[in-house]
Amino acid sequence: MENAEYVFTGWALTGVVLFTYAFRVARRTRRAARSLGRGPEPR
Amino acid sequence: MRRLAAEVLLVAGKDLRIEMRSRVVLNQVLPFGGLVLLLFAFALDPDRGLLPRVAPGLFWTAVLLAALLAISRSFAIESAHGARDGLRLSALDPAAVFFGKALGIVTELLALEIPLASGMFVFYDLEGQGWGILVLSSLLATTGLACAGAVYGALAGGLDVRETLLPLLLLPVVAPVMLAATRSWEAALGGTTADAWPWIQVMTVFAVLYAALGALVYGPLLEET
Amino acid sequence: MSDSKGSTAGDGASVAAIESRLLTEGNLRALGVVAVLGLAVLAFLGLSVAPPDRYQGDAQRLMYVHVPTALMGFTAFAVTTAASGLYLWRRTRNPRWDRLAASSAELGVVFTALTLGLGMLWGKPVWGEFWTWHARLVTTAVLLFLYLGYLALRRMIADPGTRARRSALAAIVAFADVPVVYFSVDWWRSLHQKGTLVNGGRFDPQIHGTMLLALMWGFGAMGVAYAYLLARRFLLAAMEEGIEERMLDAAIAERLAEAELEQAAAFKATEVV
Repeated sequence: MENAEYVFTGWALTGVVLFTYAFRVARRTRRAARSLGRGPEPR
Repeated sequence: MRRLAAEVLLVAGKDLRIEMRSRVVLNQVLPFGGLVLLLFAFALDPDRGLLPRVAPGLFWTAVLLAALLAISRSFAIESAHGARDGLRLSALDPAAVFFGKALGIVTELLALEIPLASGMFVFYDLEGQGWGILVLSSLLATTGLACAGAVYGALAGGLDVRETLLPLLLLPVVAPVMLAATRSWEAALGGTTADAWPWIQVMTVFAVLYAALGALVYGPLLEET
Repeated sequence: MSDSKGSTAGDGASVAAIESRLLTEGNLRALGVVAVLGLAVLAFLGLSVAPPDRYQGDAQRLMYVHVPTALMGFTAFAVTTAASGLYLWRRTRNPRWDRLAASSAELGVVFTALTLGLGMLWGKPVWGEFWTWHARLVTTAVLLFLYLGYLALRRMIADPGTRARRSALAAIVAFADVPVVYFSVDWWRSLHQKGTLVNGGRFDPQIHGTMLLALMWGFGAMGVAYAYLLARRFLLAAMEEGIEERMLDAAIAERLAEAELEQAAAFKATEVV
């Protein structure tokens, strides 16, 4: 494939960006669930 | 309608009176504009004949940067001494407050643009022509800038980081004005005034759009804690 | 992965009934699987099944992701604006619209930034440069900045009510600007094109067969990915708002407790005398 470096970089970029975002949201969700599960906590 | 006009003048008058007493725009913002034009000469080397060609763009960039300061200042004076609450309790029509604010900003900006433009004609060695278009486009662009600025100044108002937030909010929005104003000036100065008309239209649409939006948005905007 | 019951409402972060029925963990996971599969199939179609383009060669394969992400970027903005409108309109005012607007805006940044990046990767082999001042590129860049401003504004406001209202107004005001930006930039940049506008946003109208299939599939796959990420982000927003509320309540309770102690101490002091 010609220009393969551009094509594959682009597709890889797409995958990386979308999955990274998904993981970030998932991690924050887990943290939030734990925080909520613990009940009211005086800081 | 007369009542609205009276309220508008009241708000604008208040802002301009504060300016006349504190002279912030005159003593700080105007020199800032001049400095920007000076720095452009450093950056772009006057000897290469570049300055006259890019002068319209540089002028409007300088005006835009100065406008950010003027708008910021316009809303800074509202955060002192509970002025915001005063505005809300005064039972002024929110649209009048908006137009008043915008009018104050327009006045200050025009007061800036005239000496700045004159300076530029002299120092960047420009040939004056197409005055009608120059004046018309400047009025329209300034109105658009002031209206959009009044909206975003209020949206960002009362927040600690207004100085960095306002540019980020406002600049993308007024990109069409920058574009149109620069192109109009290029057409005027280049003798091809007919080219300016589509850009005049763009600026008119923008100014009307943001004047209407501001009048609508100030109601909900002012009604908060 | 720990059991993240994102949709349970037992803690005052009230997620409405419809949401808890629709956005269950089970449904979301299924949607996520569909999204991943969809993207995998897209990769297969775009990188292998579709033939190289007559003029652009293999670089054209980037279009199968670039155009869909661009569409999602604009869609996300539309969703943000619509949700903002729903929030501002008294009859439909509800914090969930604010949360939807914010979530969609964040996704809009992701997709729009991705669009620009992919466009640049496409531009180098096809045009010879990473960036040109084509109308479509410029307007997309402006759109990205509008999004960033919206998110920055939100981050600066602590009070949820003020934040919701101001950002909703900001979204609508920015949205009104988009047509003006689009047309003025388009007109500006078209003056400098030789002949017809050839830009990355429009595909050759003669596209057909597997290429068309790949592109259409791309729209679908990206759409599902957007919907999935939006749903997850939306639920996260609800949870984090619940936590904000909880912390605020806790802080208030703490202060009240302190005040009571102070009062009791003061009372005691007067007693002794």
